[in-house]
Amino acid sequence: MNRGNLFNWLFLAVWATWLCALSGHWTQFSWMGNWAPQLQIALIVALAARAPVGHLPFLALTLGLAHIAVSVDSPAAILAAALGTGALLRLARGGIQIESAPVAGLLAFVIATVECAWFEFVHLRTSAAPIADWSEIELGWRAGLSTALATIVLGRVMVNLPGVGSLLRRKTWAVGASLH
Amino acid sequence: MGLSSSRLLYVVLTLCMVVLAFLPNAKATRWLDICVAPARFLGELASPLGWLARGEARAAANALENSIDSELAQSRALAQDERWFALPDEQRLITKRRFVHAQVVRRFSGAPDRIECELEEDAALELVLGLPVVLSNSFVGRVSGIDVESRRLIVHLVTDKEFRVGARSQDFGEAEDPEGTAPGVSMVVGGLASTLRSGTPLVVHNPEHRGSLSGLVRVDEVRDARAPFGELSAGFHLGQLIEASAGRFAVAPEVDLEHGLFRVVVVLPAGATSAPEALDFNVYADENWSNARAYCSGEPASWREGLKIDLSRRAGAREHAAVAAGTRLVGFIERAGALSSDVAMLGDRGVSVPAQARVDGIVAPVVLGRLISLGRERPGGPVRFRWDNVQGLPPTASGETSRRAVVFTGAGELGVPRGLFIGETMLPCSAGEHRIEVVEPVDARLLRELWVWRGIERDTREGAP
Repeated sequence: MNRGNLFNWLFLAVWATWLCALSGHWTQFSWMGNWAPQLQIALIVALAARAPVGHLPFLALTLGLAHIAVSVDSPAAILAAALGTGALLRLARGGIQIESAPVAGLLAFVIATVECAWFEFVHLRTSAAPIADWSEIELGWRAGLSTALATIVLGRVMVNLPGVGSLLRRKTWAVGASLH
Repeated sequence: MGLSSSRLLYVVLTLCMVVLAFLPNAKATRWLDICVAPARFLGELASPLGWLARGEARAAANALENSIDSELAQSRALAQDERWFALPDEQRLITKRRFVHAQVVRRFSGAPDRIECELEEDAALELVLGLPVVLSNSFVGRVSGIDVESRRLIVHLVTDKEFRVGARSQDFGEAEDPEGTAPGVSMVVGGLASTLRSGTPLVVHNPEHRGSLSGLVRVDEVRDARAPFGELSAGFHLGQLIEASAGRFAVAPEVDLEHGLFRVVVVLPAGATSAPEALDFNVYADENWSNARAYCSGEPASWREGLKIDLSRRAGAREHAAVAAGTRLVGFIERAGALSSDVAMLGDRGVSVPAQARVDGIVAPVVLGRLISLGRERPGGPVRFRWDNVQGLPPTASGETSRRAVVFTGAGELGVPRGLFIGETMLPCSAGEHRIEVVEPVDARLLRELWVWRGIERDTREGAP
């Protein structure tokens, strides 16, 4: 990893933290907090479709670190979710073209919904006080829907965030054009 | 198809994280906290997002500043009333006795029937093992350990299965003694009874009379020569006799011995020495608090409510320590990290807090026991708490079934100072489990300057002595 690449990863971490904090602000201070999209998930899905496969684990860890920076959830639970997301995206990349908006949206929906349930499950399981029935775990489908929408609408914008673009795989025609 | 070494490492790392997620107190979790400590700098970079609500934040800080003097006065008045109403009010329980106040500091996780208390008066040298410990008119246990230097004492509670105290009920059941003139039934009481009834009913051993029992049970050890300080404890209440199951009786105490013991009083013989000097312990003194700054309050999960603060473990942050703004309780430290700490706020599901209340129409502070947060219905709305009303409240004169109350923190947990303001609510009068909604006048998520309780630092030993 050269110095320029390191800065790109740092830029990505900062952008991801900002998006995560923006989601958090929306969630906590807006009357429609339940519908707040998980923008960091939209970002990783958008990037995963275009980044080299070897970058996916680092993408997952960077996004996990950004989430830890703003969330009070257990760091282990966040990293487990981030690494799981990375694995899922790697599998998806092997089978389907996740660059297409509907597929990316569907993946974002699944990831956001499962992550919400996972974090809530861990919190209920590790809480000192008995809180509630398991049936009260919210699947977070509202956040899933809005995250899917955000991925479809903002995916292209996110991959062009300053400093992030050079982490992505370049299209064949662009490589060819650059040879001339 | 075999796994490459990098893929294997990835899978192993993921599985390790899954396991660690369920082991918040494991040593490896502490190491992980150190590894992810640089996330603090990322969080700081996102802190300017707080400017989006800077108008509301300024209003919240002003509201806090305007109310601080009156809330401080309320908290101090509450402390005085707590002391006053902790004393017995029956003349026969006051005469020939002297009382020393102590605040419950914590329960031991391995020995829940022993509590550690801090004396509020300079009387540690006068205390001896076996002295009775009471709360108001109720007997709660005996002194079983004294540390003169730290002014701490251990109280062995009557709920312990090994504890025994001689007792006498004041009357027979109506069928046997309609006039209520019989001298009463002797019995031995001690240990928790196994019933479905809420609260902490005590087992009745070897009652003198096997028939139907009822009435108030008082300590009576005068005839037992081996009983320590039998005359001092004589007459204090153990509770009302109830039928636990067919033919088996139990004593329902007047106080909740599990969650309702915030302070106790040690009973001493009225001696020649003058009354011990009360020690001035000011909860709000600067040395009891560490200043912290909240740099991020945007928790992305809608069902959680938390803050990131800049106080590290090294600077004194400890798990379960209370976090306050002015005189208000904001939450508790959930994770004390290498460079920052996470605070679970009152609106975070699962946060539990020992609480007491000033209830309209009731002079004495009412011990509520433990409140468990169920989160908020909507962002910024009242916090919903689960409350087990063990004793019940008297209904109002006009027959209303709930009473307005101002809720404060109680004592009994190392990380929680007593008397912090929580909010206002309506308390249902009927006994049983309720959901109450507590309104906080200031949205603590908007506040940046916070204080972390350092009392928890003073003594973090575990295990009963």
